[in-house]
Amino acid sequence: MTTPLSNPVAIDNDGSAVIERTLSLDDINSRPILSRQEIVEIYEIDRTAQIVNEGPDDGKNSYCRIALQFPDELLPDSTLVSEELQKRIRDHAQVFILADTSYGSCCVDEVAADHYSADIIIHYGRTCLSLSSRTPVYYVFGRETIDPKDCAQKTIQSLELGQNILLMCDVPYAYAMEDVARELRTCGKDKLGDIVLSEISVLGKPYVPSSNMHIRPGRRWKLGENKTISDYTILYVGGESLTLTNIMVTERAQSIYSYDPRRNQTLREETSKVNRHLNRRYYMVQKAKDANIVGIVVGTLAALRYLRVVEALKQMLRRAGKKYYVFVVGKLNVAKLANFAEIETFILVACPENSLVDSKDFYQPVVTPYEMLLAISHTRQWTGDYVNDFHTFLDEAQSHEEEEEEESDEDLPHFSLITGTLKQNRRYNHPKDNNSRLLNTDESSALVKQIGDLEIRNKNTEIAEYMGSAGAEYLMNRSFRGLGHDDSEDVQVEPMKAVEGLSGIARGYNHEKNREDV
Amino acid sequence: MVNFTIDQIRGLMDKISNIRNMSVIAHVDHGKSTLTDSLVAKAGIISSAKAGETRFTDTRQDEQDRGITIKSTAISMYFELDAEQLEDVKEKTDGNGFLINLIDSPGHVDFSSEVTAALRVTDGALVVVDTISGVSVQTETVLRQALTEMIKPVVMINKVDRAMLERQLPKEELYQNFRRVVEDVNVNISTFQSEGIMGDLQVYPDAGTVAFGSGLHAWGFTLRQFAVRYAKKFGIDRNRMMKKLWGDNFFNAKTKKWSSKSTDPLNGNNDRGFNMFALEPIYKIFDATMNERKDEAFALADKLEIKITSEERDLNGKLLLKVLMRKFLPAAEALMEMICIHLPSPKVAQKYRCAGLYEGPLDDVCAKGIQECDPKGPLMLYVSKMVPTSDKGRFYAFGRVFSGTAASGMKVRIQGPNYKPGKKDDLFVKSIQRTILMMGRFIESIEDCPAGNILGLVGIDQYLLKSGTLTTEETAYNMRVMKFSVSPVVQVAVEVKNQQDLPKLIEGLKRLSKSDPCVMTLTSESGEHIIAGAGELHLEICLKDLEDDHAQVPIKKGEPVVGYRETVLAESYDNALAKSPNKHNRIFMKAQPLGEELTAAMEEGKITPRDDVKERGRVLVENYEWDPNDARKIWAFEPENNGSNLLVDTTKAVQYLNEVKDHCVNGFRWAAKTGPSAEEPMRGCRFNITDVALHADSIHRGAGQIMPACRRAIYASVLMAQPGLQEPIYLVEIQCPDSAMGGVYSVLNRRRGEVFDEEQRPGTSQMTIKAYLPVNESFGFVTHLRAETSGQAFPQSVFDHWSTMSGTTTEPGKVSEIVKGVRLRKGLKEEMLGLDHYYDKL
Repeated sequence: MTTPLSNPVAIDNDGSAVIERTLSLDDINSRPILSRQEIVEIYEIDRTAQIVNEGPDDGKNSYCRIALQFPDELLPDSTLVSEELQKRIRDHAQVFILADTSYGSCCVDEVAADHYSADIIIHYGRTCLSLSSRTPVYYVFGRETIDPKDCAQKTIQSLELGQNILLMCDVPYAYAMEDVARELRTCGKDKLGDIVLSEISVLGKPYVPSSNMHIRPGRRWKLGENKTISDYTILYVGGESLTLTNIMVTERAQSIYSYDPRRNQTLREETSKVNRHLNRRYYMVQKAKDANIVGIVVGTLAALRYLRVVEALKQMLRRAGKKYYVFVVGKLNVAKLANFAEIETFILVACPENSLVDSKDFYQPVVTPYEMLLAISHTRQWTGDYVNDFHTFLDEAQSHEEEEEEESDEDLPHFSLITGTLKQNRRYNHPKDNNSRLLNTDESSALVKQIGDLEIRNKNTEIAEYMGSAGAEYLMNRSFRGLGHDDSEDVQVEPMKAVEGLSGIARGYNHEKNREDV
Repeated sequence: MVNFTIDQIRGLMDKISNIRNMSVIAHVDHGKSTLTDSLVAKAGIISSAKAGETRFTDTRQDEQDRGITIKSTAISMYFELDAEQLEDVKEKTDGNGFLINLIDSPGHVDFSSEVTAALRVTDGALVVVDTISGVSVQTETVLRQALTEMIKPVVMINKVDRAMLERQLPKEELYQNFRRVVEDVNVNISTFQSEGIMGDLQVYPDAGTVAFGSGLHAWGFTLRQFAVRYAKKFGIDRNRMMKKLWGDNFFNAKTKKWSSKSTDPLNGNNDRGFNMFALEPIYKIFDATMNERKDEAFALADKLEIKITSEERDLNGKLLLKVLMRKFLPAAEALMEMICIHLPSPKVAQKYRCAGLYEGPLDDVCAKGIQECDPKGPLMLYVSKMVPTSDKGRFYAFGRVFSGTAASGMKVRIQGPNYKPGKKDDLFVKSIQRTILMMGRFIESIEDCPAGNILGLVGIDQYLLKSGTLTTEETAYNMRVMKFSVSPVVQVAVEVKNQQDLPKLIEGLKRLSKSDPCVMTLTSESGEHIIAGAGELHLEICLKDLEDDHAQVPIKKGEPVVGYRETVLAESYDNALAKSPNKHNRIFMKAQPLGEELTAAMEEGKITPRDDVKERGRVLVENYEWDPNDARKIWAFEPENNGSNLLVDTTKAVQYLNEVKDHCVNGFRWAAKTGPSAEEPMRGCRFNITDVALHADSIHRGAGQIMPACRRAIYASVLMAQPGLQEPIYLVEIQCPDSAMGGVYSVLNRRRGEVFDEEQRPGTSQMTIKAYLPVNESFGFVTHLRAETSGQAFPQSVFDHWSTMSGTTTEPGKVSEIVKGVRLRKGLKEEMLGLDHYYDKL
C-alpha cells in the first residue's frame, strides 16, 4: 500500500510505464542485501518447508503447488527465497512467485493463486491478517530488528503509574513480543498494572471463539478479570501503518501509544489522532446519509465472507430505497471512481485495513460497510465504536434488519448535517430485484401502466420521473446528453454520412499496429 | 379578564376587511414590548396596572432576565372601534369589531431574522422610535426590511416621559425633537421605498400616522384624538383641526386666530398649535404631579374628564402621574386607532403584495387567490418560522394563510424552499393535524382558519426545516423565500462532553436550526459540529438554548471563529496547466478577480445562473465591461450553484468541449467550495478556460480524468494569481455621550476598527459613531467597550461586507499566518501545498 493512489498507468503505451515506474518505498535502498543464510532465517524457510511437506493432513499428502506472495518491497528477495524453499521440499512440488497483486498486497491474493491452482499460499511481509476463504495460507512475517529492552524502558518512562497495558504489534515484530512483554514485566513490576499480550495467527484460519477472549481477524487477546478494553492502554510496536490506524479506530482503549523500533523514537501518544480521525469518519457517515445513489466497490476477492457482505449491503440499501451499483475496479484510484459522477457515496468492501480510505482527493466519500449501516439506520447511532471486520458487520447487519422491521414513516425527511437543511429521502424502485413481482403488485403495474398509457404530460414533469430511474434522472441534469442534434447551440451541425471509425482497443488501434516504434 | 372569546375571534377571522396583521419593529431598547403591553392590557389579557412592566410577549425566561426580546411572539386581540372612529377608516369595514394579529419582534440586530419572519406574515408595521436617541441603525434596517416586504409603516414616538422628566425639554424643543424624528423616518422611507404601487408611505402626524407617548407609563396620543376633542369644543371640522395641530400653525390666544407666523407684532407671541393644544395639558399634568401640587392636578383631571378612584387619590409623584396620564390618554386607544384606521387589511394589502410574494405567474389560480385574499380559493399558506412547543422536539409551524382556508385534518402539499413545480424534490403531502391561534404564552385550538389570518399548525413541523409553502393546488409555485438582512458569519464548534451524548447533540442541532430562522448548524469536513450565527449574542443564546432545551446534554464550546473567503488579487501571470491522471488531457486556465461590484451584484441576486443568457450577457458587457463573447459563455456559478465565482469558457474551437463541460463544472464546484489556501470557500474569482486538449476517445476523457484535472488547473491558476483572503466586516454603530468618545476610539483602534462617520444628535451630547470592524476582532467587543466607557456606549454590529486583506497567502505575513491557523484548526498540514503540486509541466 505504499504506491500512491492517484497514479494510474497511461493507457496507450506498450506497458513501458509500468516497467519504468519507480516505487516510492521508504527503505528499499536502505535495506541491507541479505545473505543466503539470513534469508533462510528471516523468511523462516525451514519452518515453511515443514508446513509444506506436512501438507493438509499431517504428512500423508504434501502440498504440491505452492504460491509465494510477495509485496513490492520484498520482491528483490523473492528469487532467493523460492530457490531455498525449493531445495527443502519434495521434488514434485512446484514453487512460483506472485507479485503485483490486484488489491492491497496485505491481502492474500487468492484469485491470482487460483490461476495456477495453487494449494497453499505463503504470504510474506506485512499483512492485514484478514481471513481468506478457500486456499490455505501460511503467513511469514519476516523479522525486523527491535530492542525489547529499550522499548520496555521507554514505555515505563512515559506512562503514568499503574497503567494496564495491552501489547500489540505490527507483524514483523511479532516474534519479539514475548521478549518485550517479559522486559515490561520485570522492569516495570511496581510501575505498571496488568500486561496483556495479543497473539497473532500465522495460519489464515479464524480463531475459535471462547469466553473472555477478544477476537479480531488474525489477532486475539485475553484481558484481566472484569476488565474492559477501556481499562487498558494500548502499546503498539511498529511504524505508522494502516494496522495502527485500524487499531486506533476499532479499539476504544484508554489511550494509545506507539513505539517505532526503526526510528528508535520515544513513545508517541496517538490518542489525539484517534479523535481527529473518528471525526473525519463521522463526517463521511453524514455524507453517506445524504446519498441516494450508492456504489458498492468490491476491493477484495479473497477475504472470507466478502460476498455475503456485498449481499447484506445490497439488501440494506434496497430496503432503504437507495439505488446501488456494484463495481469491481481493482486498486482504487481517484480517476476510476470519479468516472461515475452520479454516485454520491462509495462503500468499499475490502480487508479491514484497506477499507479506511481517507483521502481528500476523492470526489465522493468512500466509506466502510459499517459506516453505511450507521448512515442508513434509524435506530443505530454513531457512538464512536467501530466495526471493521466482516464477521461482526454481518452480525450487526442481521440485528439491524430485525430492529428495522417495524418501519416508521418512510417519507420523513432527515436533517442533513452537511447542508444544514432537511433532506428528503428519494426512494428508488429496484425493478431488477422485483422482477418476479413486477406484474402482480399494484404499485409496479401502475407504474407500467403509467408509462404505457397516453397521458397529457405536465409541461414540467419529465419522463424520468415516472421511471424512477436514477440514471435517467442524472442524465437529465447533464448538459451533454450524448451525440445528437444540439438545438441549444447557435451552431448548426451539418448532417454527415456515417464513416467507419477506429477499431481495436485504445492501447493501440488496428491501424496503429504497424507504427510499432513510434 | 380577557374581554373577548375565541369564538368572537374566530367569527372575526371571516371578516377579512376587519383584520389587521401588524408587527412592532424598532431599534433595541426603544420600547416595543413595553408598548405592546398596553395593547395586551386593553384586550384584557393582563391587568392594566401591570402594563409596561410585564412585557407579556417576552415569553422566555432569559428575555425577561435580560430585558431584551429574542424571539418574535404573536398575539391575536379583539377590539371595537367607536362609530366616530369607524368613519375615518378608509377601507370598507364590516361591523365595528376588529381583529388585530400583532407580532412583537426583537430589536437587537443579531435577531433581525426574526423580524423578517414576522414582517412576512403581516401587512403593517408599528415602528417605535425613542424620542431621545431617535432613528438608529436598527430602525433603518427594519424599516428597509418592512418596505421591501411591502409593509405599510406607522410610527410611535416613544419615551416622551423621559424627554420631559429627565431632560426637562421645553415644549418647543420637544416639538422640534418630534419633527426631526418624523423627518428622519420619512427620509428613510423615501430612500427605501421601491415602486409606487403602495402610494405615499411617508408618515405625517397631522394625518394621524404618528403617535406620541410613553410605553412605560402606558399613555400616548395621536393628533387625531386631540383634534376630535377640540373639534367638539370649537365646533370646527376635526380634519381641519388636525392639520392645525402640526407644523407651522400658530395660535394667538388673544385674537383666537390661526396664523402661519410665530410672532405677531400686535398681539404678542403666537403659540404653535401643537404646543398649545397637545402639549399644554400634558405639561400641566406633569408639572402639577411632579411638583406635588395634587389639588391642582385633581382640578385638571376634573377638567379633562378623568375619573379618579379614591385609592388613586392617595398616590404621589410618578405613580399619580402614571395613573392620570393613563386615564387621560390611554396608549392602547391611540395605537389601536392608528392601527385600525391606517394599516391595511389583508384584502387590500395582498393585492399589491402578491407580486412580491408569489414566485409563479401572476395570473394563475393561486396568484388570483392571493390577490383576492379569497377564503374559497386554493390554499396558499406561508410558514415563516417554527415555534417550539412544550412537547420537546416538536414545533408549531407559524405562518399566514394568504389564500383559501386551512383546516384541521386537511391534506396539503408541503413545499420546501427547494421545491420546483412539477418535480418531487422537497415535496410532501401530509395532513395538518390541528390549526391553532397563537396567543403569546398560550395557544387556542380553532377548527379552521380563512385567508388573511396568522395561525399556527400542528403536525407538519417534521417536513419543513424553517419555512415553506403549504398549498392544495398541484400547480402552485412556492411563495418567495425570505431574504434576511443578517448572515451567519460567526461560527463556533461544539462537541459533547460524553461521547455517548452525541445523538442527542445532533437532534439538538436539528431542533436549534428549526427554532431560529437564521442559525446554521452543520458538520465541517473535519467532523466538527459548527453553529453559525449572526453575532456573538446570537451565538450565545443559541448555545444556551442548545444546551438547556434542545440537546440537554453537557456541551464543550470552542472559541468563536469567523469564516474567510479565498480570492485572487490579480490575474494569473501565465496559463496554468493541469493534466488529467492519464496525462492525455490538458486544461489551461487563468484566474482573475471579478471585481467587488460584480461580486456584490451576484450576491444580491442581480446576476444569477438562472438569468437568460443573452440578457445576462448584455448586462455584463454594458455594466462590467466584459467581452461580449465571454459574457455568453459562462459555464457555472459556484459554489452551491449560486456562488460568486464564475467559470468561463474562452477557448476557440476545441473539439469535444461540450462533452466535458459537466465534468469541468463539477471540478469547479469542488474547487470553489474548498480553495487551495485554507480550504475556505472562494469568492469573487473568475476562471477562464483558455485552452483544452482532449483525447480523441471519449473513454479517456471521462469524468474521472477531467474533473480532477479541472480542479487542479483552478488551484494552480489561483496560486499564480496572488491568492488572497477576504474577511467579514461588521458595520458598527455606537451611541455614546461625547465624554465617552475617547474610550470608544481607543477600543476601535485596538481592534482594527475604522471610523467613517461621526454625528452629534442636535441639542444633545449624544454621539453616533459608525465604524467598520473586522468580525474577527469583534469577539468580546461589547464588554470591552462597556468597560472602557463605564457602560455608556452601546454598539450594534451587523455584517456589512467582505474586505480583501492586504498580502497574499503564499508570502509570509499576516495573511499566511491566518491561513496556517485555519489549516491547523481543520486538521490539515500547516503548510499549504505549493504550485508545483498542482501545476503540470508540458
